[in-house]
Amino acid sequence: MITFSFALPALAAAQAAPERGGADRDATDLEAARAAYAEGEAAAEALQWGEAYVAFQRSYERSGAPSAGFNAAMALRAQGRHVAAAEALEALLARHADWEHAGSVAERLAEERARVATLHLEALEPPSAALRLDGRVIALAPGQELALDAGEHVLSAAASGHEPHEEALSLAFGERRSLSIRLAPRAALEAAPSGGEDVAASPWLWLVVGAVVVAGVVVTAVLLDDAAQLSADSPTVVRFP
Amino acid sequence: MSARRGAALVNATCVLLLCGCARNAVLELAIELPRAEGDVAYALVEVHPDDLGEDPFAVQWATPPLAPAPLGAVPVVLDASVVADGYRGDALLRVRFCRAPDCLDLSAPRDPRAEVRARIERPLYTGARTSVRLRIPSVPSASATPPAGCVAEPAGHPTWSCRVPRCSVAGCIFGDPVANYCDGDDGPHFCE
Repeated sequence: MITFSFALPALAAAQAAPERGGADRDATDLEAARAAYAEGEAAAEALQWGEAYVAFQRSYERSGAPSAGFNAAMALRAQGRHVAAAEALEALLARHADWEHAGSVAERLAEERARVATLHLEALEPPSAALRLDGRVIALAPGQELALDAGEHVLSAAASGHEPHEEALSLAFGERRSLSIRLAPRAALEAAPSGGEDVAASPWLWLVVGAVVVAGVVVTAVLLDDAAQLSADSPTVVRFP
Repeated sequence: MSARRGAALVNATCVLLLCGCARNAVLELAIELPRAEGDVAYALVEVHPDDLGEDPFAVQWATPPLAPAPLGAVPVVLDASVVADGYRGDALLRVRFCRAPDCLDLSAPRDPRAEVRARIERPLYTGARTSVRLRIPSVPSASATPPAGCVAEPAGHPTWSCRVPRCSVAGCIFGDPVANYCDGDDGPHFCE
């Protein structure tokens, strides 16, 4: 659960002796920080962790008080956002290494790191394939890793000229999952019949068939000119005149 | 010639015939958005042709923005396709970073919290599918350094103004290779 026990004294200390950047903070900033902190406390007591995070974060930005930053990280943790919580705690520890409660921050950071799951992309074919995690595009290249929260996810991959791929991932706390994604090219030609049938294997037959198809395509292209236009790859389309 | 090669020739001929008819142009945009910072939780992206006068970023754009992109703990890539029938000028891009999805949060500091403006030079070519990848490493702020090709602009909120030169437009394979040779970010290509 969230620990707020040392939050208020630290905020008070920030007012008495502002830390890095605090020299520029004026009384208005600190008043706003206090108000935001109170909002965060109220939201946390009501288990409204999203609102609590926003309020504590605002208080941290205004005051620079590590307690507010710590509570913001704990609000992230309470939402199950362990990746974000770990990053926030890392930043907090780097910025306030000499804080009297830095040991507690380090302990929480270790806990959060242990909860974060990792996705390791071993291979991606074609390399230009667009990856989406839970519907959102992600930038992940082969050999790279992505930290993500444990739970259920949907990973999808798509590339022009290839069959799309989608798979459900169920990741446990701290799990490291390796993946290789290889999209199958869309078949452009039917496989040639086996068995050595001479007529079917004749190049003349195929040339005649090809000529007929070409003629058909030309007629179709003329009749359906719009269909010959380039189409958009992305489902999000902006039209220019 | 084998039967398979003959069929492949027919197929390739059909594809060439179809491609040869294309009169429009497509620009595939990939915008690398930064992770969420502070209370900036959304990016609102707008794309517009350069037909808004001398200072196009100083006016409201009538075209609707793309769907708000929520920012998260990791950078995300927003894809969009620009399809143009006859327009071949610059493309303008505006990314607003906001607290509210519709960029209308009026609490201090009011939306937008920050902004990136980009001019993509002549990215559209008849019958060609081109692509541009714009990387925004962080939400613009007074302390953040603009990425290469961008400069900080004096504005009401932190703003970076970026230029994507025509030789950084990838994917063009048409044109006169002697007179119009580009060796852009992704290798040589000929566009004009």
